[in-house]
Amino acid sequence: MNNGNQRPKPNDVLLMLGTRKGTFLFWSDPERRAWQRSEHHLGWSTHALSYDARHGSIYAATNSPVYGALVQRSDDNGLTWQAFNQGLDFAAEEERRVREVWQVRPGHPAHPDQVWAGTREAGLFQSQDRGNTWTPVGSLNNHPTHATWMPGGGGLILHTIIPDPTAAGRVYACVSAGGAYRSEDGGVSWQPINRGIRADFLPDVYPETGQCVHKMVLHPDRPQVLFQQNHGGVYRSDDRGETWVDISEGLPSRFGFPIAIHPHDPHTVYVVPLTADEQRVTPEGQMAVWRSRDDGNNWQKLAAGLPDAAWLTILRDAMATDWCDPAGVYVGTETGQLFCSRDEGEHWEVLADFLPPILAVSTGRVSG
Amino acid sequence: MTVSVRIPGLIGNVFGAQAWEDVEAATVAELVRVLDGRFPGMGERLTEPGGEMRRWVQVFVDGKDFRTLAGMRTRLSFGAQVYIVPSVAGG
Repeated sequence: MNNGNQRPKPNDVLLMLGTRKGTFLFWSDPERRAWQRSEHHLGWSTHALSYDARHGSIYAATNSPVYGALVQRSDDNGLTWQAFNQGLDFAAEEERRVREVWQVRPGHPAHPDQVWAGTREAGLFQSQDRGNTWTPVGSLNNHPTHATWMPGGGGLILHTIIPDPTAAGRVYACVSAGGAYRSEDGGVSWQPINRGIRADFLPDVYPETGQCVHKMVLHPDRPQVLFQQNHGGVYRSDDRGETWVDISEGLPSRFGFPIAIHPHDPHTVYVVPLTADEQRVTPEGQMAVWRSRDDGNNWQKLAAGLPDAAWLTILRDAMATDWCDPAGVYVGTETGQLFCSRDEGEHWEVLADFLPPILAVSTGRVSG
Repeated sequence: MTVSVRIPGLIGNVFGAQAWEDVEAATVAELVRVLDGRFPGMGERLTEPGGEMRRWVQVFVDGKDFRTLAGMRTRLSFGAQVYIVPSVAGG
């Protein structure tokens, strides 16, 4: 499987893994039966990877407890990496510091050089030059509700950024534990969008902010609909986050970290429930992905080929779908297994094992 | 003032630095600035925004911990050997 010199070709499926010990790239033609791979950033902890189809670039959110948060970019499918990213920190006079970068997301196609980053301590940063220089987004980082944010298991983190692909000014950002926020003006102003989402760990279980959102997704064909895996349940919003409905019924647990959406069907989502909330392992030792094809009204357990007697943890960024038809689904575990389905979750196999703890799984379609 | 500085592998690999680099610098702070000019971005990996060294970056000047000398203002003599060393911990 290893291959030192060959690189992904146009139209390949690119599968990007962030692990506690570095970045792993896998790629295959759309048949997805013969994968090649390469390793990068060994010694760095990679919390997220994104493919930027606008430029054919890969962004890696790499971190070191000694050297801090470093966004690295490759413009040649991983052959070389550029590591200059000035200013990815709060102002020197502030007490809070950026210790890790948890998310890097390309901006809207109308702003081809715009990139967003989310960090620990929780902050949103924007780059207008493809990650060379960064500016803190003070309107969110100093939001009037900021005092309600408090750290979860991963620290106080801004871990999810979703530019709406259909509206250049609309972008979502999620903080654990702080909740979800939406901007309609490119990040100039933000409003909390957590109405109807429980925060059972707070005295007021329906606060305006402070919820522990774990991951949120939208589909470009139906961008007004958001799906969210929260600390306390799975939710759907049909109005860009103004209101939420609980869609957890039918799942073995309300708790889990990742949520992924089908590439071609905006009604189909995937979650990986974990036993809530102090255990955080697969229920009854059965690894299973759960899928809904009707907006979360009904759920189906998908476990064919997945192990039992397996007490696994799947982290918030460790599941992704690809762009193929039928869609591929990929799940990485904190114990270094990478599970793959080529048929939308019906059947699974181990694509790779003995990897470092997997923090993030994402995909891209290699552009020409 | 030419000094020799030992670059740790993790950031040396990222920025394309050699294990040993010769640098013209009179203080530790200037050494970091020179390295950052030679390898843009390396300075931010070593120091905090206020200019002090990151907590887990150790610097030894001719065998002495720079924090027991004058910190970032520690003067470097001609031919000094400077080791930049990451703290050793964790798994």
